[in-house]
Amino acid sequence: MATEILLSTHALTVEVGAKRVCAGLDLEVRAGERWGVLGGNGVGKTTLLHTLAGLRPPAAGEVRVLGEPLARLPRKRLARLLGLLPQDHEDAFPASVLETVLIGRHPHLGHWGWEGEADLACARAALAEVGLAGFEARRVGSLSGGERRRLGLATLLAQAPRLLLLDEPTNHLDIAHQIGLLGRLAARLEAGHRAWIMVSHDPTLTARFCDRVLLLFGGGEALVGPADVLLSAGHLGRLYGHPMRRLDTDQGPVFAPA
Amino acid sequence: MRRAALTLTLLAALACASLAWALSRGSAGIGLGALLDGLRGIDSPALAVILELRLPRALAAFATGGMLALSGALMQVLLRNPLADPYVLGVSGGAAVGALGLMLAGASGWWIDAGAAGGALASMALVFGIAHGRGAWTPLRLLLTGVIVAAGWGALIGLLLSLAPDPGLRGMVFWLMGDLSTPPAPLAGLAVLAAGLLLALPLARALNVLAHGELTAASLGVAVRPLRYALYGLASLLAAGAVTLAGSVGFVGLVTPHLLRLAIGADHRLLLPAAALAGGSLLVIADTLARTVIAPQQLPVGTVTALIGVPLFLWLLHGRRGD
Repeated sequence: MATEILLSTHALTVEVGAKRVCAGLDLEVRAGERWGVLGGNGVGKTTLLHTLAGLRPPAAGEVRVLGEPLARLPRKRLARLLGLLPQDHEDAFPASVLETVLIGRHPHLGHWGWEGEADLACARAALAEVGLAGFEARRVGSLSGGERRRLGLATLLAQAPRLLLLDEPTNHLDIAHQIGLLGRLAARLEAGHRAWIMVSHDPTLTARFCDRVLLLFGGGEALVGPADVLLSAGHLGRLYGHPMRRLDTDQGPVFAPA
Repeated sequence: MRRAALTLTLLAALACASLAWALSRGSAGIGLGALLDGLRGIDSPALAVILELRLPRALAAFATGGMLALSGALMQVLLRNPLADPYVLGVSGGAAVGALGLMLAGASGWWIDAGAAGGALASMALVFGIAHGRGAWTPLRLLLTGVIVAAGWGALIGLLLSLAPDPGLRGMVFWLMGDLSTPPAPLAGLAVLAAGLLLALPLARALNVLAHGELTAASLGVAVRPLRYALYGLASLLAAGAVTLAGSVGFVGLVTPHLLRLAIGADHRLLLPAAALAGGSLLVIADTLARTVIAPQQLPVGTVTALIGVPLFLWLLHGRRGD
């Protein structure tokens, strides 16, 4: 059985100002796949992710979600298919942890709908999944950086999209939470015919948790392919402009700056 | 949802109580007894005082306070700034220039209100046009544009005051501080408040999402730009309605949404109607105090709102740490 294509790009060109992020990019993200996006600072990883999420228009080409052009999908339907974990969280107003997770249910509710028992259960399950059970009544402003990050992930889990667009999801997380959360998320994706595209600065973590990668070299140059092939010392050295070493261990490759 | 119903019931009761208190207070020892007599068909001069003097004034105060608090709640989400108030983008400054300019020109009565409304709408259009500029309509750019335009209005107000002859000066200063002694059309004010609330309520859940940032809101399926246009239009029109009714009454629009966020939480489905009820009640109470504390002398209601609001707000902030 051929797996479903959740998202595809067709000759996609993304530009920000005078900078070209990618040019004529074709890729297909299938259910069950875990994609990693790597590149140096300012190369446009976040911009690309936002374009895939439909938050900004591409310079050329198009993005399709489940075969339909993204621009033609109704917003709420799109939000049930794609969800974004932004790089930073903005908390201008005081809110409780539970209120914050519940906004993830927005695309699932009718216009006048109130969150029901099922939404509350979903929100609590998402909190438990990221290790924040019992934090429901806490104020968001009182959380640590890592706890706030996990709350962002819980909100995305409550949104329950088919494709998760993760912008540096392990920011602020300690090592145990990095491995634990990505591991549980990966298992969840597999079970639910979902997929993720994860922007990261950590090639080791990417090698461990992603099966396919997109390398952005800047100037529109990109490489797409299987993680075990593309994540080589040579490619990564060119990617970061710094020589890299690959050490193969029984838990997969480990990358270190030379 | 049950908690929301309970909260709104309590606030509605507060609103009724504040209105009843406003009707029963005043010079000449006329109390609610005259109103009860009136309901039994007994006419009296006291009844006329209540129905023709106190009732329109109390209703105008309620409408003004409700519009200000609702406008403030919307403006705070629009600008992503809990310190925003209905006047921060220059609506009251424009209204003041319109009203004071006409006072200086010798106009009175209805013309002053028309001048205020015209100035408020002109300022609203000016700030929108300039802030929109070439595409990027960010909260920061909107806020800066509004603050600068408001500063410009402030300079013009100073100019008008310095040109004004002494006899007219007192009326102008009262207008600036917010004055409900001669409210035009209180029923129209209530209608604007009700319409504003009815238009804002369908946006309430989207506002909850927008409060967490535009990027998050957009990725959760909120049409951010149309929502922000709607917020700007609604908040500005409500503020314009309030200044037309009562001049620039300060503080209600800043403090009421803030107090409610601390007291009942940040869910706008509850916060918006609660702001309308609580802001209205607060201004009815403040205005009743303004006209009775040192009667027969009347105080501008804006000074009373600030005198009540400042300590209340500081007390709440002090008791609430760690946000």
